[in-house]
Amino acid sequence: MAQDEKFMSPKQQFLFIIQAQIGVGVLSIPYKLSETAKGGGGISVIMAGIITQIIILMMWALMRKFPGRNLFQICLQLAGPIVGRMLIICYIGYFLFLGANIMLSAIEVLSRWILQETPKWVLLGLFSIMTFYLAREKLTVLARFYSLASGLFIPLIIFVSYGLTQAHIEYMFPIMETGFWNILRGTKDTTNSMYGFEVFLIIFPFIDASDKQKLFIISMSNLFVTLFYTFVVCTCLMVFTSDQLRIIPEPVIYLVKSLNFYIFDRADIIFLSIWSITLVCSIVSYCYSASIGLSVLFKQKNHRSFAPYVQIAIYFIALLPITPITIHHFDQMAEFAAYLFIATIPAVLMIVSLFVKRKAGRTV
Amino acid sequence: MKPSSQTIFSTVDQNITYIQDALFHTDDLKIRHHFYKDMPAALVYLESLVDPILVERNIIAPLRLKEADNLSELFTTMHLEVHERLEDGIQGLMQGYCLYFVKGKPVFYTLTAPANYDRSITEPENEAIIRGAHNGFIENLTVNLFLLRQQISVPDLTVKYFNIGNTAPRRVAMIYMHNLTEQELVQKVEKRLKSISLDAIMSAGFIQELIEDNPHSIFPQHLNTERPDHTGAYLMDGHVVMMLEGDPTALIVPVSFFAFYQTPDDYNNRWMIASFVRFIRLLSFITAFQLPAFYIAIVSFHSDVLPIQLFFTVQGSLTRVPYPPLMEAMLLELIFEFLREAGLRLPSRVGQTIGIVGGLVIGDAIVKAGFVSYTMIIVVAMTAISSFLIPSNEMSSAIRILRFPLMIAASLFGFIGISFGLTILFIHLCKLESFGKPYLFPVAPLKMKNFKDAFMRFPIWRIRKKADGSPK
Repeated sequence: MAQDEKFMSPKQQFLFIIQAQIGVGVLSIPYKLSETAKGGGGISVIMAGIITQIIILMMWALMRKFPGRNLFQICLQLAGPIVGRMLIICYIGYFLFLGANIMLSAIEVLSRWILQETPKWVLLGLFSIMTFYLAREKLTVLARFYSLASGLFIPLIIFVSYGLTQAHIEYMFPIMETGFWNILRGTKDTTNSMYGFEVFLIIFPFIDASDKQKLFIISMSNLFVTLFYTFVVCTCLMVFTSDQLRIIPEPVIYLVKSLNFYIFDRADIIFLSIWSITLVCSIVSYCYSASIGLSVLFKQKNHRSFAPYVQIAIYFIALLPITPITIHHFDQMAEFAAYLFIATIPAVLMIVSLFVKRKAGRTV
Repeated sequence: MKPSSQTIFSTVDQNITYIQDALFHTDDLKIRHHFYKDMPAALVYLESLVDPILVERNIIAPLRLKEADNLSELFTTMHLEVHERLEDGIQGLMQGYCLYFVKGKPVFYTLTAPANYDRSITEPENEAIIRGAHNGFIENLTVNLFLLRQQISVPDLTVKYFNIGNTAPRRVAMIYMHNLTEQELVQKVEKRLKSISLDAIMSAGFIQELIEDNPHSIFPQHLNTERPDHTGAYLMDGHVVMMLEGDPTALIVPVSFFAFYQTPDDYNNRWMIASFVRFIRLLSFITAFQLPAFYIAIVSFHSDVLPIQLFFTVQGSLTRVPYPPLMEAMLLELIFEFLREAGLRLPSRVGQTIGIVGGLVIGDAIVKAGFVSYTMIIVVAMTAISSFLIPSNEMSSAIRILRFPLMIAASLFGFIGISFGLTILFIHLCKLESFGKPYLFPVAPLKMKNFKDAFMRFPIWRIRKKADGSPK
């Protein structure tokens, strides 16, 4: 036990990625898809999963070339000290931004459904404290908490599955109602619920498994998340008609709310309280990644001292947007940032690494 | 006090004066003068530490009956040592030795005749079990070691003594199984024990607080027990045990959270019953600190969670109460804590009065007076009972305190406040380590294999099959 304390086990990696990936997005995927894919929403999600898988393969190809290094160290090595540093700063900015975005969406949902009167900054403060408390710890502690919190998926899945009792399978048909092109467009709306797996770029060197195993496990996590999303989307599509879906922004919560559990009503409140804990895990992944980035940038061994700054930054970024329109812009920016930072830059890095492979091999 | 190296003086009187000075003429220092082979001789001892019958039988009687050139052959005591330095003699006096001086001899003798006023080996009161061994540790380290050795009679069982305390050193024994315990762990414990720098160790709690990983945590990181069978079981699992001379508590490290929910009774029961009981106990972990918070969150924020009939009942009992639910809960919890603390040290006959005053008078009157609602009484009573389900006293206290912050969080943010509190709590638990071992093992990090003895109590052959040395 004592020796592998620095590393996380494959099982933990599996749960870690799932926790990082499942975020606030899933609550509203069916709503977003109702605009485009309609009955074919399930297919959109699966396609998003496939695209994610392709990106994961690419990232894996990049990471395996640099054993024992994380994304930031690779940036430094491939792009040189100046460009590399710029890249790192950009990535830190990206992580901060995405962390803030998730936190913002989370408290938006919470204040809409449960705490209408509570000021936004207080809720953000609550989330910041939770995130900070975990993000400054070492990775193994994160992994322990994530796997512990994964137990919470069980009640969440039960809640959603219970909705199947009200399902009308005919609501979903015809699946290809809007045509293939719209289903593809739906895929685009789904991808931003898939973010989170990029934390793989940071934790890769700290997993106690062979490269192939790591790939297999992250693929399994992706598979799990894709199936989970598909399940949620299909359930919503079966419970609500497409006309209903168009006017319900968070159909999953609405679905849970309508259920009658006999021993308690308003299951949505309990659902969201549990959900908020899994959201913390998603935010922590970004916060941790950003602090690691800072520690690489300033050549410090420990990321602990950077966590407070990261947390303060995330808190204030999340405070910025006030009107619904700015929040929407925020979302869109996050989406484009993700295209750039998850897909484009790692792809470029990988291509570069193909050319400097020999040189890298020598320095490693 | 700097130890000098004064060697023995040539006359008996000089020696005695030196010792008397060193002990500041304490009155329980007894000196018996007599002649041995016509030479003046003296026996010196502290009467409070020495058994007079043993002195008479093993030291005085042989001296009277016969004479020998070599005094070592004469005495019939258990131990006999020969010393030159008077400081060794003074050290020996403190441990219950008698010193024997003879004029003209360049050495003196230290002889054991220790008084034994130990209490008998009885079952520890706060760790009583229904079936199984009914013995317990006492205030004598040697007896305690005897109890352990009696259970585990193999050469593997290793004991290491440390003298801890600068002014008044006390003996601490570190006990472990040589082949079953990780060497790293043993070294860690040894290092931490040696690093203690304190004038005196008053109780095992001192050691505990000085060597634990995270002294600022509310959770206990050592398992305290006075039961030899419990200790023995942990020794066999590769844990390290520390015992202080004069203290019946065994400190066991490393421990996980779940160890505090296990009792030796679990292994004497049939496994299904034991599993059920253990499950109930772990359930009490949740109810013991969450129930009041949950109730506060429901009545002050989310009353729509309640089914409609229940809502009317709760609302009905709340309408007469002038205070917000948090005040109500705090009031009752405080009364409960008062009663518990008051009842703790009272003799049992007076203790019953507390029960009547607290339970009947306050419990009933407080509702009639309209201070709190009936539902709140039910909630607090449930919480109180749950907190006593936990076998370990430290863990039970820790959890009782936790409910207060959680109640405040619930009254501020409802269920989200509870989520917040629980998240912080579990992050803290994930962070905790006991001598480098994760506190929440086997849940975090996840080891399904070890679930067999954490949440449940699987049949013994299932648990014991994998004896890979990993902690329970």
